[in-house]
Amino acid sequence: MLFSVQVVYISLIVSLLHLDVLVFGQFMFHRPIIVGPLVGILFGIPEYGLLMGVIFELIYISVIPVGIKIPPDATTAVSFSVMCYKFSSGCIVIPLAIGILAGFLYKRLDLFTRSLNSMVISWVDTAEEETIIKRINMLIWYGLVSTYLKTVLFYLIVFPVASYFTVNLCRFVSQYQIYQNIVNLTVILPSIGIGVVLSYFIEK
Amino acid sequence: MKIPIIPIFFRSFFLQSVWNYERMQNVGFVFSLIPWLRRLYSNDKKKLYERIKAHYGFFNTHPYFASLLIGIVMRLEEAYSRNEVDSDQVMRTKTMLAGPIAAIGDRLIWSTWRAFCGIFAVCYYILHGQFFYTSANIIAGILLYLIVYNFFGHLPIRLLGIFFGYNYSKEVVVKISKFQLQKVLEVIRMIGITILLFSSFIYSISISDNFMLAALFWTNILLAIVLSRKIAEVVVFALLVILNISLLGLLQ
Repeated sequence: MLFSVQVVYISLIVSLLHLDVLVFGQFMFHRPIIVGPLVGILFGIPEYGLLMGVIFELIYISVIPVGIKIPPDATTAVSFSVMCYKFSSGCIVIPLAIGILAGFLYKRLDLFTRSLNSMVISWVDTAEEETIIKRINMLIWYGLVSTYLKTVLFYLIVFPVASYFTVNLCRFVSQYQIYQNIVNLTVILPSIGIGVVLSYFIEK
Repeated sequence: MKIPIIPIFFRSFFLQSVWNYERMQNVGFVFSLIPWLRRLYSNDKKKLYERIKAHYGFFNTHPYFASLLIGIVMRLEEAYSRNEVDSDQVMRTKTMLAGPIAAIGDRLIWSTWRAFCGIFAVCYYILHGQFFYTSANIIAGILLYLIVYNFFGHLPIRLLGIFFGYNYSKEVVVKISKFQLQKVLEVIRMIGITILLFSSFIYSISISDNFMLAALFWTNILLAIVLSRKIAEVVVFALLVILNISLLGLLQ
């Protein structure tokens, strides 16, 4: 079940939350601590969603989006981690790594669309008196719709590939009997995030 | 003149809708300002067009604190419409204040308030045992985070920022400096560290029946503190995960 109706509707919902990253509001609906548990609940694995949400939130607390500095996308990372876990037969590290990779990949796409926006905005420069406000309104709609569609397409195209790798890599990992270590790892994983946050606060 | 506060407040949420490398938040800024410009130049379409064009240049600041700048520019535009200031003065003030206001916003919101609320939410979950993690309790945690973050930080800044900027105009940075923000930030940070250490302590007690795991938990915290000063957070995380898998394998 690498591609199901469940994946489609979760992609639609997460893409909606994704608008909050940049194009609308910044109410923090997109934070890992919100998206992780939510995707977990929708996928029927709330505990794992929460664990991923907590870990990514702690790691991303000190990552600040200032000006042109764009970090790997945390929303994509956490939602891919949770979604891939469903196909991992209980292995935690592979979905986590795939989530982080997906976050980097989404960042590349984001950089591309931001460059595209630089070209699109010049449309208003050529506007006449009667059309300038209309064009600005249309640009705002363009921002919302293009971001939503971009994210939905990204999820629908990349997720089947990610889940395929998850299934096969997890099969490979379980052969090497480190599965039990990985189960123990879930208990202590939040400590890494806690250390990162403490370091960030102490430094400040 | 009466401020069209609801449309401006609502439009300010779209500030970064068409974020671009060339002029950054310019489209969102003009979009937020349009209701005010329409009111000022309701009888002069040419002037309205001119002012929209003038504000379509480079603009970048903190998205929440942009409300302050919107308020300041509204006051200046009002003065401009009465020929009390020239266009250069409006643009210069806008450009000059965007940087300092962004710095205040980054420090106050991204570095402190958001981090504090994140810690608050994480500790809400860590302090309870695994039997607590039902869908209802998880959703309660999510709602708690969103309510605290937005109603005590985000939304008041956006809404009051417009009034504050409009009333104090160019004096706004001086007024903000009187709030002694540095002390407020220190207090929030200290509370955050205390809550996090307390939660970690309680959590490590809950796993202390396996001494090895509890010891590894604190070792991880110390290593992450040391390493994340030198290396990027994601790299620290990946390194420590690999180290932990290896250690757990050796100790078994």
